[in-house]
Amino acid sequence: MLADTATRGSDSRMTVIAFCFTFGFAVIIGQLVRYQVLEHSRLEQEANHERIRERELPARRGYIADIHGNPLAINGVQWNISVSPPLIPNSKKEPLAYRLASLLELPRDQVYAALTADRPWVLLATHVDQQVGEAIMDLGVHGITCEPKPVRHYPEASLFAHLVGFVNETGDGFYGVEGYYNPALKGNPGTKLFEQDPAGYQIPIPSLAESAPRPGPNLILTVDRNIQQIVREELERALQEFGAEKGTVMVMNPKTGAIMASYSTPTYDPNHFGEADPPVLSDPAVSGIWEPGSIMKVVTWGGGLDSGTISPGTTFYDDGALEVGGRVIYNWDRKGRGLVTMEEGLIQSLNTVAAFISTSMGTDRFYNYLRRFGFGTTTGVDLAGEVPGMMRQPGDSNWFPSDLGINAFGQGIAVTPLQMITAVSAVANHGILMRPYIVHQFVTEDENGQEQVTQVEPMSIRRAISREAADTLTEMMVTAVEREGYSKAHVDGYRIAGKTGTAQIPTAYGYHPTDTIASFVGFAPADDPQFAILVRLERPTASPWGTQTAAPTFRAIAERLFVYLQIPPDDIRLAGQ
Amino acid sequence: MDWILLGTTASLIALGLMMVYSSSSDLGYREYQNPAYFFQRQLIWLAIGGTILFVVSRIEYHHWMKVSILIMFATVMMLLLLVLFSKERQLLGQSISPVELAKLAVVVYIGHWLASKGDLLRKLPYGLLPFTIMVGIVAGLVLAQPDISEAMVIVMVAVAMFFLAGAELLQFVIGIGGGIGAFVLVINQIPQAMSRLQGWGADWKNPLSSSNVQLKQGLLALGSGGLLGLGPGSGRMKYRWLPAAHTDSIFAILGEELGLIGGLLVIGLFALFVYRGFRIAAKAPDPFGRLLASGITCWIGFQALINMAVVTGTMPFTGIALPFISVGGSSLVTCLIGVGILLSISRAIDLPPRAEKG
Repeated sequence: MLADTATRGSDSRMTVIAFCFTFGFAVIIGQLVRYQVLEHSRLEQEANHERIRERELPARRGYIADIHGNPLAINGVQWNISVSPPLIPNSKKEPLAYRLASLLELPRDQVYAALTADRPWVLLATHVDQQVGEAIMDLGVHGITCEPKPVRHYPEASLFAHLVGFVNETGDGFYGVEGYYNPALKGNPGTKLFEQDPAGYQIPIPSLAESAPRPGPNLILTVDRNIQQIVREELERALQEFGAEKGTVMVMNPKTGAIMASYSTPTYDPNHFGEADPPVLSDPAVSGIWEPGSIMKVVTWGGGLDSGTISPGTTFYDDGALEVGGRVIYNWDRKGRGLVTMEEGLIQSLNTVAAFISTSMGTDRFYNYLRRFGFGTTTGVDLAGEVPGMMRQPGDSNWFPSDLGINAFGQGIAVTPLQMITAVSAVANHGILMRPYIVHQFVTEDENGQEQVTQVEPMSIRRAISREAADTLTEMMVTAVEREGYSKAHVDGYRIAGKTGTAQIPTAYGYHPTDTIASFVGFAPADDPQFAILVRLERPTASPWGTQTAAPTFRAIAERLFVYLQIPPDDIRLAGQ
Repeated sequence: MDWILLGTTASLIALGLMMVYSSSSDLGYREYQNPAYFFQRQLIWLAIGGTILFVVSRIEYHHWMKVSILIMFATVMMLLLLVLFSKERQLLGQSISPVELAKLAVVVYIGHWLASKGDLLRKLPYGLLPFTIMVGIVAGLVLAQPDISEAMVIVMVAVAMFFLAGAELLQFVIGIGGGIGAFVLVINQIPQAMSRLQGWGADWKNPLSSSNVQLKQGLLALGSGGLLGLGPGSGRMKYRWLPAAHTDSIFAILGEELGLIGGLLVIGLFALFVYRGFRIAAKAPDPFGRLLASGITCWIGFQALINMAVVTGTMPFTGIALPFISVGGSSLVTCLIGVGILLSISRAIDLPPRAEKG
């Protein structure tokens, strides 16, 4: 054949090309071996490093409810709305700006400016309500992102603001129950080990590891929404009627120490805590202190009776003034009563008698009783921000011998409303001081979703005074209420034990000449106390006296509590026994 | 007919379809809310390509000589259109890549031209000069897209065919030298290509510190695959980590999911394809058949090599499909036409020698 030589030449040339291919494939195989075998672990590690992430799975915060299960703090969702201008067609921007502006209640120009911004992503609005956010999602526009943000809702708004507190932007609770139980309420966050895409989203394969978050326990409080409502109405009525600036009312079960209600003004709406005046945030019932004045005499008389220093019939000649440690102590009207019994001294709230009791007891015994009633330390209540008050004692550099006299009627010592009502509740509870508390039940969910309820048992701290001393003191307080002077606290058909106070307000230059803090503390029914009430009104203008302002407020609340708690009048109740 | 070549092609396509679905489902879902979007389109192109392959394999391959000039003319026109009027590399809404067609046209046309010259090739005015001009025009137009890798495939295929056609070795060496010189000049004019070339040296030593995302992520994909791979469908890099995961970088995803074993399988199939292609060329009854068969073999073989070399960081530059495997209708259909022509030539081998005309 003619083409023989050419063909043979072509064959050898084809061999050359075939060799080139063999070489090429060999190089590729070499490269594959290099990367997939020799450097496999290094490359795999690098790939995992850029792709595997650990993310915290937030735990559900426990909700908070009152003793009947009415929600006080629950979890909800708000939205952060953002837009990606490049993803939205220009023709749609005008009508879309109109829709978004009306939904978000924003100026249309502002929305349009965001939609046409030369940026890949613009945050349009935060804290958007759930319904509005869902309406925006329903628009179904590609390029609008609705990011859910967990948010705490307080259905009762300001009613429980001080007791419950609030949760801030980062999910931490402050003040009240939210603050005290913050670590528990938060629960234990879970973690998720997953693989992400470059934008940080999980790629659609199962997570490498996942531990489920454990939700925080739900808290059932000892408070009753209806009692709280009664307390608020009556306190606000009193503030208006008596022209007072501020006030606090607490209601406690004296047998257990359970806080049934606690309301102070001024208050705030925890749903909008950011708009509140910062000093308003803390709870005056546990964080506020004042010189209580005459209601402190309950403690002085209690100590005197228990120590045997006095009995109700012990007499003292009151000439209107008594000198203690170089300081002269006067009665509220600067008048002497002559020979008076200890009972009369309490009823008429005589400062001279109080100083007589404390000086007769001596410093050691008197301050020992203050401590036994819980003053000078925190009560241990499960509310955030509790302060111990200010109690100077012998041995302290700023303690003066005259303090022994003035402390006996509540001057020179500052206490919290909670300390005061807890101490008086000890008298109601036959002398045993209970630890005040606010959480009634912890409700947790186990792995199977079963609710487990842990009941909080009332806890006694110590015996403050003997049963006999406490009962005797109670009878004296009942007489005090029934006597003319306190009649404004009296409720027909019920024996009420109580004590008024009219405290002067200390300033940098001695006590304020006119302003007072009026207070009343009491409990009922006297033989089987169902509630103790503390009323504290700051600077009432209608009358400076506790008898004229705090006492009627106490009565208004007590009247409604007898009805609400279905406590029959004493004669009916005692006849039935 | 060469059933082994057809079986090799079918195996590559089957492997390819699996990888197409795996590598494109995330993108398909994100862009078209359909994870099978690219897979379905690839199936349609396979049906079209398969039909054409069947028809072409039945057509006596000498008929291509009649249309070679027409095809070449049409290809040059389309490339010109692209260069002059379009910023894209595709025509008719991204559905047709003239570059893919250009490779087929070059093989057919140059095969025809070289075969018709016979021993005249050894003379300079008939050999190297017109050859250089022809190849230069097509390669230049492709380069102007700019598509360096495709231009390289065209030049390499043309040079291989010129060599096989019996070019004078001295001419050939001069031609190669001139070609490399021209290539360096062109590279110098494209700053993007220049920086790629400069970065390549460093990338070869330490690919993980490469600023070339596609290279780095591709190597991480290959490396993660190891010996046996993460398993079909279990790759991670296709989730937006690796650009062009379903097209030019599909070999990296294949290495990630099927490991070294899968990579060796693909290389083995392409090696078998090249072997069968050259076997057909060697046994082809005439110079046109021989040149046409080796041209098609070199085209698909070189393109596969360049693709894998780019993915493994062996060669700089990007932007070339892995034949039979990457997503892309134009590439699949033209490759299948090429296989059809190869089969047609293989059928001619089995026939009794034709009586010489005249």
